[in-house]
Amino acid sequence: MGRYLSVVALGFAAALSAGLLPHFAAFVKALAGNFTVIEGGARGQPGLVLLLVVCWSVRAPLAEALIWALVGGIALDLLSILPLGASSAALALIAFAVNSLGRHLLRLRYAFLLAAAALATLFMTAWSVAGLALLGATYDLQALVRLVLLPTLLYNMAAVLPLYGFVRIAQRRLESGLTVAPQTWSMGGAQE
Amino acid sequence: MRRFARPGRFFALLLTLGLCACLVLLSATGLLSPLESVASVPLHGLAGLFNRASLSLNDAIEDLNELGSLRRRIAELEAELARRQAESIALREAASDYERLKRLLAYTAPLEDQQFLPADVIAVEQTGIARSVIINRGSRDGLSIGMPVATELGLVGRIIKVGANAAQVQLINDENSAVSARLQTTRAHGSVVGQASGVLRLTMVDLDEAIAAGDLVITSGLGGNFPPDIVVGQVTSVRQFEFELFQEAEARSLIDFGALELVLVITSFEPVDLSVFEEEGAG
Repeated sequence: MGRYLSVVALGFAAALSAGLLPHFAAFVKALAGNFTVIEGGARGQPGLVLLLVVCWSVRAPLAEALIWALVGGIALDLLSILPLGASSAALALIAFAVNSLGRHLLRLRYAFLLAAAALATLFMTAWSVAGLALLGATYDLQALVRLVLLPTLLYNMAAVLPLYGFVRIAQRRLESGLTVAPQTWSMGGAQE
Repeated sequence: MRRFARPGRFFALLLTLGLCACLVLLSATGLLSPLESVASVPLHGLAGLFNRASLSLNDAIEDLNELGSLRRRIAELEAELARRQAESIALREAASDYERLKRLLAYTAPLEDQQFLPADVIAVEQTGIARSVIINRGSRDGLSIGMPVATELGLVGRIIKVGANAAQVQLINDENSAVSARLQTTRAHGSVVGQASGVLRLTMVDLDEAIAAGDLVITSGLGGNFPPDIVVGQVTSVRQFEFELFQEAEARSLIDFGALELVLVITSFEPVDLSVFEEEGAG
């Protein structure tokens, strides 16, 4: 069920990332006025798809995590200039790492999630820059770190914990749904 | 860690990465373009919806923020308006003063032999019985009793009391004021005295002198109290009786004594003391 949900959730998240979140900095500035730690002109935004993949991969089976990474990457690439599959590969590596380490570091859940979000953001940004560089684009790395990476890092670390809460609720619902449904069916069958 | 090192997991990862590589290759060569176009339609539609919604939301938040700043701006502008209005009033006053001074200057220009000291009228006689004003110049400015006071429109009066910083000026329409005068047209001599009603009366004019309404009355200089040729007023009506030795005329000063603000004290004029001759005559 989680595999099918990935298409909806990640598609939605990708659309949200492309349509709503680019204005996130403007929202923050409009609501908080000038009281913001984000530098003016910053283009960073929360990486919702990345965070969903990270959060989903902590508890989900690896196959499901990889599917989320694949779908999430495709959704991202459909809305970016990177070739299809480029982001999927990065997300797959992230999902594999998170899924593999997640259960071993369960006791450090929050610290692990924060670290995972930070490292995943760094890796994803580096991957995207490398991909774009391969396509011939050049960037001022210092400005990129200041205006894109740092704000994104900040947003992602702030968003990962609440998002993980939502993901866990969804995963529990799916798990309970999968186990309860046959019982309901058998009960109905018994009544018949 | 056994789970991490399980070969099946690496295989799944490699499979996924391989799939991704294939996708990248196909996408880079353009073979996936039709599929990408179709797949991106719902995403683009959804992203467009979010974009419009976020722009509207952004506008709404900005409008809300602007509301506060607009209120602040209105308050600032209102304060600025009040300041400008005060400034405008001050400038109008300055312009008014300038006009008055210009007129006074134009008046004093032909009288190059005279020295003038401008003074502001700071008070008017409170009792209403005597007609006098107080000016903001006094003995420290070199004023002394008897100095004539005028404006560009004519004679105002003479100084009757001097303090250090102020002086009292008896107006020519005061009942106790008398100015030796003559008619500008006929040169006929007379005396202008104030009346209780505030009008001026030209008296002591010989019966054979012709007086007509509209004639200008100017100071004659006789008696040594005022310099000659300062406008005193204009004849408005003439009263002539055969049984009287002199004829009289009512005159109106060109000055509005109720609205005096700025006057000129003729400091170069020294009143002549004729009391010596009066004493000799009496003796």
